[in-house]
Formats: sequence, structure tokens, C-alpha cells
Amino acid sequence: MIIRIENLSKKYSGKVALDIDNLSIQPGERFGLVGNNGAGKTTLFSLLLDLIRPTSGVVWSKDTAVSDSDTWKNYTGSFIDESFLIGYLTTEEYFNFVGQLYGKNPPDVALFLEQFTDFFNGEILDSGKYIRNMSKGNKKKIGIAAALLGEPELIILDEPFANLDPSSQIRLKSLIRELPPELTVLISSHDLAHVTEVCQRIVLLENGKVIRDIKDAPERTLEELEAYFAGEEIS
Amino acid sequence: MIRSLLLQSWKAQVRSPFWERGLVVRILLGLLALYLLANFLFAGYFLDVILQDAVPDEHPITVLSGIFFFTWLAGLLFRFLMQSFPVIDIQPYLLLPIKRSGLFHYLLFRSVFNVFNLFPLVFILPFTFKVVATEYGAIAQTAWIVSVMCLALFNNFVGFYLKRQFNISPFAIIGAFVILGGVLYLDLQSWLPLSDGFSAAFMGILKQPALALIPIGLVALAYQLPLMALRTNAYLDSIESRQERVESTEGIAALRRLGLAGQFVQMELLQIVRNKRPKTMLMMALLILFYPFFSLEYLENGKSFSSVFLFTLMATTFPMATYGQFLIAWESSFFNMLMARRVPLMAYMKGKYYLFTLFNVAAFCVCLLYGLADIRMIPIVFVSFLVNMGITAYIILFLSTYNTRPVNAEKSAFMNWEGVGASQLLLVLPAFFLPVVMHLLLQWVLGWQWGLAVLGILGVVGIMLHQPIMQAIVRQLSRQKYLLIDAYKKDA
Repeated sequence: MIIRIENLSKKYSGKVALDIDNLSIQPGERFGLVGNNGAGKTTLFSLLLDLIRPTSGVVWSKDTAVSDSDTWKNYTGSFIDESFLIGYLTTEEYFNFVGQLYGKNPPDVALFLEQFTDFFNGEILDSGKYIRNMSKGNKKKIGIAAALLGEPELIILDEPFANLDPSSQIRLKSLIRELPPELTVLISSHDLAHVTEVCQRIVLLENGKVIRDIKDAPERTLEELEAYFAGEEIS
Repeated sequence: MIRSLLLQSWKAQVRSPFWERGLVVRILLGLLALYLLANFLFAGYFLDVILQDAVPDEHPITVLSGIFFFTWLAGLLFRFLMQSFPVIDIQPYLLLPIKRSGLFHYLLFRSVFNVFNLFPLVFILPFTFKVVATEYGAIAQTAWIVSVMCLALFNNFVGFYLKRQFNISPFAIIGAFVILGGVLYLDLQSWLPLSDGFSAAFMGILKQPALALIPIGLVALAYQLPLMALRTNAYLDSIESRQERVESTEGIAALRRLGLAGQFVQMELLQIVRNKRPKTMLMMALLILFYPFFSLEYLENGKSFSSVFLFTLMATTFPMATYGQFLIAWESSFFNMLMARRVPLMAYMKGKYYLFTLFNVAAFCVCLLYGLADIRMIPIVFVSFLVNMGITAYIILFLSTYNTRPVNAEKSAFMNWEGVGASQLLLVLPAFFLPVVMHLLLQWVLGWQWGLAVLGILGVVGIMLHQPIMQAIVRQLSRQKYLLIDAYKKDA
């Protein structure tokens, strides 16, 4: 197990944002998190990254509590939002900086970035712009690529499909499918079609609780989810 | 229509996050504003006496009219530097069915309500009642006030225009100062008697109030300048697309040898160079380096070495303190990334310490020049350096973890209160005054040389204890981590 969650809860001034009894994620799993706004998706990811402190419970990453030690940072890549990007750097400077954190020199980083040529669509590298002046979609692409830097064993992406144009969404899907099978991928999304396409396991959150945990039934998942969000109940 | 727009901007002011700060800061800011206002009123009331004293052979009104020339020129420069004309505010309205020209008039009209335009009025009003009205009557007084206000408004609109058309580069500012100095020099040498012309014009208005129509006409002309500029480029793309292509840097090879900490120094340097606020703050710190110059006379008459030390310490600490008050807050926009990716906190904090080292070495080298004026400055500068490296740097590093207000480094530094809170104002004080208080005490007991020596030794001890102190600071940062993440998220 790469991630194990036990009795995890987060309350903001008395209001429950997240409350999960038990959740385990296996290595190599493609894990999709869906839910409406305020369901607790970002809260869960922030807890996994030790950005907020749980009200109760523990997040175990490879049997170490994330709040106790920093070892999980060695194998965890993440992109939550623009607060993961450094606005005053150019793209290359940013990638080189992140690469340096994982002991990669600029040529290594350039080699690594070659796999993103299609995804970047010629707009990311050598753009002559600081990241702060780039569009939301391009910022997202930078963040996603940077999350994969440093051979992570686990990546956490919050809403990777949002703000991307249709071609980029399709390219991102094939990019995720082509990731090494042993890599664990955690994705949250509002887009049911995309997330069911790339994930075998879908967890549905509502008001901070796990409502559904759908494993290994890709053909029926999308239907079931659509029915749920339309407010219908199917058995 | 302009009225409802003004109402909305009034609401924007009243509801701005600026007011959502602690009561203490609000009271302090309010007191500061009142104090300044009272100062101006007071100075204005006694202006005639002051002028009479300074130039006894001429009538105060003549003297003041001559001075207007200088305030007018300097005013233009200061507006160019400090006044902000928020053109971006009309962006949301550009889409609505409102006549464009109406929006432009509104923008210009709003720019009139500014402290810069209020100051001269407050300043001259008591004077006009006391002197002008009694000698020339109410009509002349009104004409005179109108003319003076026209100077301010002229500056307002020309400043608006200049600011809109030109990006401020440091060279332009230096150039403007040189030109201004040159004009002042020519005038003082009476080679180019502009101030006399001003004086004559204002005296003329007093005798013939109808002449006040001329400055009014000039303001109307000046109004056309920004109006034209707005008409030609008030489209969103022309607001945004004034960016030139930027190239990536390879970084500084010497810093790479410091490992990851060196990488962080490099990031800090880029942060300073590429963001307006830290850049201007540090440029102002350069000016402070001239401070000890004024203390040299204390040294000459051989008393109060503590004040010489205070001045020197101020000058050498200032770059570190001014940048350091937002040390972590500068990174508020990407602090999450620093905490979620593999960023060793020790390297991160050491990077900041090395940056301080750069600042301190630079300040040390510059201040060493004071040794040319008085050889006794050298030990003082040297001890200041040791104190900065061994005591103050650590204090600032430690206290920076308490500054929980996010800062946007891209904004201008002038009149910018973002990220400034009472706690942080109070916390910067020990960085400045702790060493000086210590020196005062030591001087009292041991005499100034020994006092200085003991402080220097304390600095050396601090430098030698680098590792354990840094570990304590890193522990402090990891304790504060969640608090900082939460605070930076809230307002960003």
C-alpha cells in the first residue's frame, strides 16, 4: 500500500470538510476522485501533501505518517493549483529549479521534457514569458509536467483537465495512460468522462464522506456516476 | 453616470482589505495621517513668519510665489514616482454599455481626489486668509488659491499622461533628477530666472484676478493629454501586451557551488530583479547607506559613539531588514509548492542567510569608505558587519516566520501597506535596536571601545554557532508551516 488513511477528519470551525474512516491506495493504482464543489477533494489532497493538519487521524505514506517525516516528498509529485508555480521565473528556469530539487541537472531536465512535446504544443518551452504572464491552461501544463519530474512513485493532480483546451485534454489522457504502470496516479476532476477514461478506481465524495468506491468496472462507472450526479439513484 | 461610478469606487475603497487589519495598526495609521495633516496646517499657518524670517527683504507672498516654481517641478517628479493612476479599474466596465469617453472622464475626474492635490490646499489655505485676504481682498484670494490648485491639477494630469506613456526605468528617474537639479541650479544662479517669472505671474494674478483664467486654461489643455492617451489605447490588449520577450538565465556558476542553498540564493536574486516591490525597496536601502555620513561630526567632537554606531548599524542593517521583513512572505504565492515538493528547509533558510551575507558584504564594502573620512569608522563598520551576520540576520530569519500576511511582490513599493501588520512592525524593531541598546549598556560599563569589542565578539560567536542556530530556525519554520500556508491562501 502506498497510501493508507485511518479515521481521517478535517473540520473548519466545527463544520466537517472531510471524514474518511478507511481508504487504501495500492501502488500502480489509477485513482480518480470525483465530487461536487465543497465535497472535500482538495481538502483530501492537501492532507495527503501535509499542507493542512487533520483534526483527527493519520495519513500513512508507505507506512510513515506524512506529518512526521519528509521522506514521502522524495517520491511524491504534485500539482494542486497555481500556488505550485513560481510566477517570476521562465518555464525553463522553473523546470530546472524543480529538477535541482530532485538532483537533476538542466540537460537531464531537457531530456525529461521531450516526452511532453505534443502536450506542450509549442507554447510552453522557449516562450519568452514569465510564468505569471502565461494563460491558465499553459500554467496547468507546466504544473503537470513539473509534478512528474524526479521519477515519482506517486503523483497527485487536482483538476488536471480544467482550463485545458480539447486537444490538450486528449493529449493529457494519453499521457496519463502511457505513464509507467507502477506509478500511482491520484486525480480529482469534475469531468466524469475524462476521469473514468483514465482511472480504474473512482471514489465519490460528498460532504466529506466517501459515498461510492467503484473498482474494476470501467464499463458501468460513467453511467453510474452520471446517474448519481443527476440526482437519480440506481441500484 | 460618473456619479454611480464614483460611488462604486468609493465602495471599493471602503470595503478594501486594507481596512481589515488589526485595530492597533488602524489607530497608528490614523494618528500618523492626523499628525501629518496637523503639521501641514501648522506650518501653513506660520508660513508668513517663516518666510519673513528666511528672506527678510522681500514680501512673503513674492517669496512664496517664487517657491511655487520649485514645488511645481518637484511635485511633477514625485507624482511620476509615487502617485498611482489605476487605469486597470475600468476593465470591468469596458464590457458594459457605457460610453467609453464617459469612462475616461471618470478616470481623470477621480484622479483629482488624491492626497497629492490635497496637500497644497491644506498648506496655503491658512496663509491666504492670514496674508493674502487682508492685503488684497477676497476676490484676489480666491483667484490666487485657484491658480495654486491649477498648478497641482496640471501636475496631476501631466503626471497621469507621463505615467501612462512611459515605464519607469531607474535611468529615467536618475535622468529626471539630474535635469531637475540642473534647472534649479540655473535658476539659483539667475541664468534662467524661471522662479522670478513664476513669482511675477502670481503677483499679477493678485492685482488682476481675471488672469487666473490662464492657469485654468492650461489645466484644460493638460487634461487633453491623458484623455488622448486613453482614447488611443484603452483596449485591454494594449494594457497587457506591453511585455517584451524575456530570456531564461543559466544562473550564476559561483552560486551553484553552494549546492541547493546557492540555488535558493539565485531564486531570491531573480525575485528581487524581476519584481517591482523588492527592487525599489532595496534601491531605497542604497540611499540609506549615506546615513552614517551625517554622524561623522559626532565622531569629530568625540562624544556619543553610540549614535555613530547607531547610524552605521542602521545603514548596514537596512538592506537586510527592509527585504527581510517579508522574507518568507515574498514567496507567499508559491509557498505551497515549497512545502509539498522536496525542498529541504535547511537549504531554503540557508539560502536566505547567504543572501543576507551578500547584502552585508556589499554594505560593508561601501561603508568602509567612511574610513577615508575618519579612521575610527573602520572598527565601527567592522563590528556592525559582525553584529549583522552573527545576531541581526538570525533575528530577522527567526521573526520572518511570524509574518503571516501574504505579499504581492509585483506591485509598487511606494505607499504600499500590503503585508504590513502591527506584529511585524513591532518585530522589526528588535532587529534594529537590540544591538544599539546593548552597546549603550556596554559603553556605560566598559567604555565605548570595549563595548564595541564585546559586541563584535558576540557577533563572531553567533557566526560560529551558525549550524545550531539555523537548526533552531528551521524547527521554528516547520512549526509555523501550517499557519503560514493557511494565511497565504486566505488573501491570495
